[in-house]
Parts: sequence; structure tokens; C-alpha cells
Amino acid sequence: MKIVGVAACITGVAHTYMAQEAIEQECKKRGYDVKVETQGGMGIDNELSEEEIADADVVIMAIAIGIEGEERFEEKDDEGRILTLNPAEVIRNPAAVIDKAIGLIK
Amino acid sequence: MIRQNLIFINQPFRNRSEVISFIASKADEAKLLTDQHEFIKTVLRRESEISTSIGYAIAIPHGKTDAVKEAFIAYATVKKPFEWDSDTKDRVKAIFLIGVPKKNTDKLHLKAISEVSKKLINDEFRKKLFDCETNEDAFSLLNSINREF
Repeated sequence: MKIVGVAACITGVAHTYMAQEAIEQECKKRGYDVKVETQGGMGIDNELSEEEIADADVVIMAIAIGIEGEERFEEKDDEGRILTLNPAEVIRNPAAVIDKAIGLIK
Repeated sequence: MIRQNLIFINQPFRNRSEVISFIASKADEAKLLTDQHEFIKTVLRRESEISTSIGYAIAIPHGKTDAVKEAFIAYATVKKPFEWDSDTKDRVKAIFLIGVPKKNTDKLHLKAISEVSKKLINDEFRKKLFDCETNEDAFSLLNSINREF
């Protein structure tokens, strides 16, 4: 299983990075491949390439604001493989969010 | 980033405004703020948009404003967990109050804040944190995060 994601919150100070950690931690626990790009106060980190996005089974958008490079995800969106939610939701309940994301594949 | 004079263990706070006002006054004493009231206002405004309770009995109120001179993280725990806000109804025991200047924020400061935030997702780390009974214990645990990088 390959999961990629983007995390971005309003202030860009804490939630962005907590959401990243929550997704990564839960995926690693399950043995999934995971990479989460962050768009926060430090700019864009861990940027996802077109290839990484294409290879992903599912995309998690843990975002509270519009993001840079949204067009990279158009194809995944057409396939219905993007789960979009608030960063706070992922932080609060990572397991349920990953379950829901995987549910998009079937 | 983590300052020992901004750690407050087992305090008698009963609600969100009390904690935020108290810590803001201490941050002001530590010369980290230019305008204490503006800072409090910004933090409460952020709270009113979406609660900063993250679950796990932790809240991370924060304000990004010109009223902050230098980025900081303050940490407080309360004797008796209280309801953080009426939306989430979460009972909160530990509070991280974060202040960040609006402009020219030092990247190292932001990095340090993000590292502390990430640690809060870790079950084991939270257990250790909640086990800290003194200012010294909490300081040494929190400070160890920032020394890792």
C-alpha cells in the first residue's frame, strides 16, 4: 500500500506537522509506504513528485487552506482516490482516517 | 525555544482564558511580547475559528502576530482537567501555548515548534510527559526534543 498526502493548516505552525506525523506514524505501524508533503510556515517540505503521486494508491489531503500545486492531483481526483479532511481530524483519529482512505480503493 | 520560566506544572486553572491570560503575562515578563493584550486577543480569535484541542487531553492554543517579539512555546498542566471548549467538549490536562512573530520568523524556531508538535502524536512521549511531576522534569524532557536536531 502506498499513501501520499499533503498537510496544511491555517497558521502553518503546529497542526500541519502534527497531521504529517499522525499519517506517517499510522501508516508505518501498518507497514505501508508513506510520504506526506507539508505546506506551512517553513514553506513546502518533503515535496511530492508527479511520479510519487502517480504511484500512490490513495491521497490524503489534511488541509484547512488552499494548497500550492493542486493540479498535480487532478488525475487522482478523477479516479476518486483523494480523501480531503481537516488536519485536526487526522491528528485526533489517525487510524479511522487511514481506514477511510483505504476504503476509497475498492 | 522551551524556556524553564514558561513551564507551569499542576496549576489550578479552571478554563481556557485563565491559562492563556496567565501564560501571556509570564511571556510578557520574559520580554517575549510587545503587546500582551493583542497577543491574548489573537490566540482567542484563533480558538474561536477552530478549537485547538487536539484530543489526547492536550490543547495547543497559538497566535501568530506582531505582538510577539520572539517565538516561544510555553507549557502548563492543570491539577484538574477541564473542558477546553463547548464544541469538542474535550477535557484538557496539558496546554502548549505557542507564540510566533508574524514577520521574519526564524526558521529554526519554526522547526523547533514543529518538532515538539510532532512528538505529541507519539503515545510513549505523551506518557512520559504526563508523568512529569515537576518543572525540572518537564523542562528536561521537552528540551531533549530540541536537542535532537
